[in-house]
Amino acid sequence: MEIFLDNAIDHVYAINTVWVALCAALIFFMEAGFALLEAGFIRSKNAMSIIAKVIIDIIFGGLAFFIVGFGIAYGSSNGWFAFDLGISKSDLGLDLTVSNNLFWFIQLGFAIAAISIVSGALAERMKLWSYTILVILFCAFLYPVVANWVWNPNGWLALRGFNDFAGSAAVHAMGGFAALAAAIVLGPRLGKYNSNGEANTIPGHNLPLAAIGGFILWFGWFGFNPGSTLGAVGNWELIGSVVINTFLASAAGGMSTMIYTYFNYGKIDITMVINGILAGLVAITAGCNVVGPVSAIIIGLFAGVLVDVAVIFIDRIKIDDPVGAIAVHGINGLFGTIAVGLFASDGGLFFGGGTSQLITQIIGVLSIAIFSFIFTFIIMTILKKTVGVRISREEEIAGIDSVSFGISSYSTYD
Amino acid sequence: MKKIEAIIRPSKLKSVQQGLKDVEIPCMTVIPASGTGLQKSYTKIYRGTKDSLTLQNRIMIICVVSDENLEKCVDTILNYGSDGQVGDGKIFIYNVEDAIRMSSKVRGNKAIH
Repeated sequence: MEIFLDNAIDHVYAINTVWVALCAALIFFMEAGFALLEAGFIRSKNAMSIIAKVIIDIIFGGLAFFIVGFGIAYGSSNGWFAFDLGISKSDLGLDLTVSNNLFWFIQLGFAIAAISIVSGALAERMKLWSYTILVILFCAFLYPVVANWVWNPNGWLALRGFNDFAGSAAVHAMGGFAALAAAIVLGPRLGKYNSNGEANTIPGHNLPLAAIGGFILWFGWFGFNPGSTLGAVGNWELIGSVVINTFLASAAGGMSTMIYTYFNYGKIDITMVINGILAGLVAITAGCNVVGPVSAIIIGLFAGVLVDVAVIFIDRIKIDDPVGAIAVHGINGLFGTIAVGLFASDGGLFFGGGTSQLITQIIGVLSIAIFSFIFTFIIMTILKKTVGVRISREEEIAGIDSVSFGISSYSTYD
Repeated sequence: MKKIEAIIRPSKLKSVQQGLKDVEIPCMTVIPASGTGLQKSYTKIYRGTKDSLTLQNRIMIICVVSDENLEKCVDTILNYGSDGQVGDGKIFIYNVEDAIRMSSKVRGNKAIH
């Protein structure tokens, strides 16, 4: 023990390793949140299929991110792309005080979170193996390219001073706009729209399950944002303000949704309140390191209303998103990233910082959203033309669980 | 022997069960049911979309009773199960061929109450 006590840098590494490992585990657990939230929001006949999708996100997406993805994201970048494989042993240029392997693990959490956003929007109607191909391509190439732009020290957005602390743009807008493109190619579920264009409700089968999923995501977010400090030593003030901002924005998001749905429909819609809380979390994720608590509340309040308007708008333009992933992650990822340019205490437009940060934020998040949308659209279209993306009409009516898995979620009498 | 199917409000189950127990007709089968009768349907809102083709939650009680217990049973269900409002439910009565208590293989009226 004395050997280590002599060496101050070992302490820094040890403490930061504990901190990052803890946060990485919290982020990893968010997959449980995605799985339960999505399962609760869809019909019971397809509940196992969404669990399978989230498992695919982790196992196929995780291996793809290990073999190719991480190297593309954090290898020696030309600003847009890197050509490394696996986890490099050399210094990544990020001033890390944890091992590259642990850094890989926390980044894995971000990658699989991004693809899990997509899984919700494609619920109840997509072929499993086609989805698996999308997952592999997304985690091996699409997400890593964007992570390279934003978080690689040589990424073109990083060099411009783009502030996306924990990934409103790189994870949430990325996942949300991929979900948008994929849902457009896939088309709505049978029975979602009448021939006259009216939307039908397809209520989720287990709202308490969806709620516990929302709570787990909320819990995991306290690894997602504070963990992005990538170290605790010397960062305690930053971690404190990140935690506070994360909480305040989520509470404000839930609050504004609750009030909005109450005055709009005469009833509080708890399924939307869950989305409102998540919208607040998504929106604060980019700026939780640079905004003050009052700004965090304002960002959350706005996000909570934005998600309601966006859910209804997306429904109206006939894009079927059973869980609200596009509204929560795509639209609020966009808003949250731009909000940094408005609310940053240092450099934000509302705090006398002028427009340069704002313009950088807009350029960055739009580039990411457009990149994500176009490439997901291309991949989905190619899949549609070749192996097909849509399950058969019979399978959709009978339920994916009984046809593809030979099981139902709630099957026994005994 | 008669079979009574009573569709009642879920909130009435406890008092109907107690009432039937008090008049010594304690045997029943209960099935969660949903349906619609003459009451106005209410409009649900789920994630911003309206749904007016809704069904109400109800409970179906099934009792098989001897002919002499029929009116007592029906009266009890009416007494404890009704508010006098539209939406209270309905009672259906059927003839029953036979009944068998599985444990003792006793048949007929002895197998029921």
